[in-house]
Amino acid sequence: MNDQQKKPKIVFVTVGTTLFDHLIEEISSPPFLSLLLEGDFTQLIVQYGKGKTPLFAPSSQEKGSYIDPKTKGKSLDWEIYKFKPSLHADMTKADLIISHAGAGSIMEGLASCHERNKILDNNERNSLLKKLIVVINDELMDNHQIELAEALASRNYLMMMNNPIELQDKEAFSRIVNFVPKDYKGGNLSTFGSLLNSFMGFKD
Amino acid sequence: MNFIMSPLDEFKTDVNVMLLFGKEFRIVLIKVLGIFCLFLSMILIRIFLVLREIKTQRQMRRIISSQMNMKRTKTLVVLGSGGHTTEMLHLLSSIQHEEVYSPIDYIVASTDTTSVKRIEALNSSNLGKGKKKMSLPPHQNIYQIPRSREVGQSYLTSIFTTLYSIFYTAHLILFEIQPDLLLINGPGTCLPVALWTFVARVLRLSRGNIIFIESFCRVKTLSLTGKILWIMGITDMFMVHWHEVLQKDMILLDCFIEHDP
Repeated sequence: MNDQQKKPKIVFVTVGTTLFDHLIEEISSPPFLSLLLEGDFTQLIVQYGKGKTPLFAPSSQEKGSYIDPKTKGKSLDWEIYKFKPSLHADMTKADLIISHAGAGSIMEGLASCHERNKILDNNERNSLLKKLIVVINDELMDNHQIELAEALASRNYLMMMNNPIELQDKEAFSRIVNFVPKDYKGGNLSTFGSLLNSFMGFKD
Repeated sequence: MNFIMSPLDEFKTDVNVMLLFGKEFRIVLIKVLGIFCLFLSMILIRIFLVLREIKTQRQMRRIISSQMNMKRTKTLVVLGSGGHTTEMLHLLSSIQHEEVYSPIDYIVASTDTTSVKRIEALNSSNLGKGKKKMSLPPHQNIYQIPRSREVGQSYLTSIFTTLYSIFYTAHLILFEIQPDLLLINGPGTCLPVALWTFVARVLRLSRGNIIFIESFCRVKTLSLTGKILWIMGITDMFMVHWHEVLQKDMILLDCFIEHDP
């Protein structure tokens, strides 16, 4: 029991190169932070891009700890930054990825979920399953990137939220906890090469 | 005399001018016009035949026999920047028998320096062998074409830069590169390249086969570039990644995601 409590459980929030202040506002709101603590999360990493810094972070501080007034004793370590050349390390560390709907971030998130989930055995599956939550930017009109998130959500690879405000909702959060994603194995990249070869008139 | 001429007056003066030059001039003029019309109809017939050939190839998913006696396949790839470049580089890394598609040239927009760096970084000759990392077939040249409009440029000057860009591309495609195989995946910057490649094919300067791969992000609707190319019917293979946008004679790719049967 003690071991499990010590094991870090990390949430990684990323907005890529976009401006998505509404998401950053919601993930730094006290209701969401206490939901994270109730869900036994120990660390919150936020890549907030062009937007405002998260509310819980005092100015010019990149690391800190959030203590929730409601759930006594529990604390959440946080780390924030604007950009990094590669998000790969944080993606890999995370147990839950909350991302904007950009194609690059979605695909990187799904790939990193697959890397973790493929090595889980059946006993660990439900408790340790790594998940990707994609939050649609409600302030963007005519956002065709929704298409990709919707298509992947309808095939159960990820969970989609239409508005960041849902993150504060207890029911929505329990849906995240109970969500069992389909494993994203990637595609057969070689199909393109073979199609090209057969177009040119010879077989592989 | 009235200073404002009616269209009829204009016509009359034209006739008068023609009469001035006499009969021989009119015969020459008719001959020139005749040759021009003949030439035009030949071009139109050629365009019709090429479009029919492309349609057949699209249905058969392969080059038809009349084009088979090839010595080389000069391959040209347009890198669109950002996500388009990422997708294209992944697809290119799946090419086997790279000796067939040689030489390979790239076209990038002149302001897109990251794409150039990415090609160099993934070039198979720069990577150690045995590594399972993504690698690209070796390439020959990277051409940079001027953008038709920079962000924030005024519309008046963008008319001239667009014209410059179109003629620059024409010179590059028709005289320098003459591609036998063109691989494009958007965005709009690849359209002039596709058009001039089609012209090169009509003029028999090269085989000029065009393969378009729609972006993976396009699930429900085709991109504007995709729509234009599909309506014009100048692509020999038109590939999409999702069932939702698949139409007859398009090819469904499973390069980035597996599909349910």
